[in-house]
Amino acid sequence: MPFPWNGASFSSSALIFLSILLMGLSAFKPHMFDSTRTGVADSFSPVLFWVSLPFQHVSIFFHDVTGLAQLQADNVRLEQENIKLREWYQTALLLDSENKSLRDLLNLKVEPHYKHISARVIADAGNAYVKSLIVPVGTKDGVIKGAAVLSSDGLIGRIVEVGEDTSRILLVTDINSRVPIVVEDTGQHAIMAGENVSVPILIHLPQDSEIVQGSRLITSGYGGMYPHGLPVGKVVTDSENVMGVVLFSNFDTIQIVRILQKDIPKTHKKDN
Amino acid sequence: MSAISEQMEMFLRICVPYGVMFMLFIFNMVFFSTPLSTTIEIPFVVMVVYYWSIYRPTLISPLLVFIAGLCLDSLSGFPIGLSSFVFLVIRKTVSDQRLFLTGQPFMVIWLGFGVVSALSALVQWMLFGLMHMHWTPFQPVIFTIIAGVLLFPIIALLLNLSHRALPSLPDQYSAVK
Repeated sequence: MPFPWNGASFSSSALIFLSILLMGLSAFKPHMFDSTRTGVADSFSPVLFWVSLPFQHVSIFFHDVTGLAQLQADNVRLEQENIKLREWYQTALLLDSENKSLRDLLNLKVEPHYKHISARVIADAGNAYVKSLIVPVGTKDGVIKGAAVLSSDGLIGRIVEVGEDTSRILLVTDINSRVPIVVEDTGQHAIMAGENVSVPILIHLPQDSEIVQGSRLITSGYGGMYPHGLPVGKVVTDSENVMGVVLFSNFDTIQIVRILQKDIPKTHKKDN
Repeated sequence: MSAISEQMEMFLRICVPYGVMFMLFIFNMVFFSTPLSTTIEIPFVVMVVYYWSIYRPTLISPLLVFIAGLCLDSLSGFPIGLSSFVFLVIRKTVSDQRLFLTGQPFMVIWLGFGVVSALSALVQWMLFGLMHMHWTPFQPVIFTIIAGVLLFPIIALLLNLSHRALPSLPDQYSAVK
């Protein structure tokens, strides 16, 4: 009877066993491999950056060509909107100055101001299981873990891993994502939970919830992870009365993202 | 001098399939901004592992497959070891059947890929669900399988072209699994 293991099949079986072992470790201690992940992402980022460039240009080109008719219609609409917005701008300036003077009167502690870092998406893990993106900015650029990430339309996720040159964004649609939100009109709080599909659901709603379809949702700022007031999406209800969120951001066309950073004012030591 | 140029030629010939493999590996990760990109992932690496497990298993050693899986898991945010496990099982199962598969017409190879790709996606989906205690929707997995099966002939053609660049190996080497 021949010996059932030759060299290659032995190493194959040993590596399969090792993979199972790693899976177990990854399941029970998911953060154990964070540094490995960021190291690999840092190593691959130059290649991913250059390879993704032509694809993004092609995608922009097709988007522009197919959208010419839409552009004309949008232009007319935007001109109309612009006239209205100019009037609103003047109103906003007045309200802003009034708001500042009232805050001063109340001695209210204002939230820290935020600055942002813009970055281009270089890799996408948009598959059936994990919803995340990789951007070529990291600790060198001042990115910190937990920072909120926005597209031009609204919230898309938060930073979960930061390497020297790259960072991973966990999208709000991922099953591991939970975002505290508030309904803009009614002030009701809830949690938006990712389901690995394009429409996250609302959980932890009160029994007598008065949230109606189409209500605008913003981040509540609870937990301190996301700042208050970031636009998130609108409420939709499915046939089983489960409340979901149609996000403002279109995840299919995201190319540039903004990473919010707390702008902490520099403190100067007093010279004695 | 001619020995050096022969060695150089051999090296360059071997570089061709590895270059194609690396390109497909990167394509697995590159951000394609299309309306379907968030729901469909094209399993390029599964295609590569399947193809070479049939036609030249010595080209993709178990260690290389393991490392490719680890890199893919690290880049995509998958649980570490999941892709390595799936790729290694595909490599072992397919290379065990290569004596049968090598002589078959392309339709059989294509059908075989359909089965392998469906089973690997199913295993990946089940393991991911078990590890996260949450069953993700199955519809995107079906889309992924269909996209992979539809694109396989094109990728197989590309791999076949890179296969032609390879120097032919003596029988004792090509028979090693």
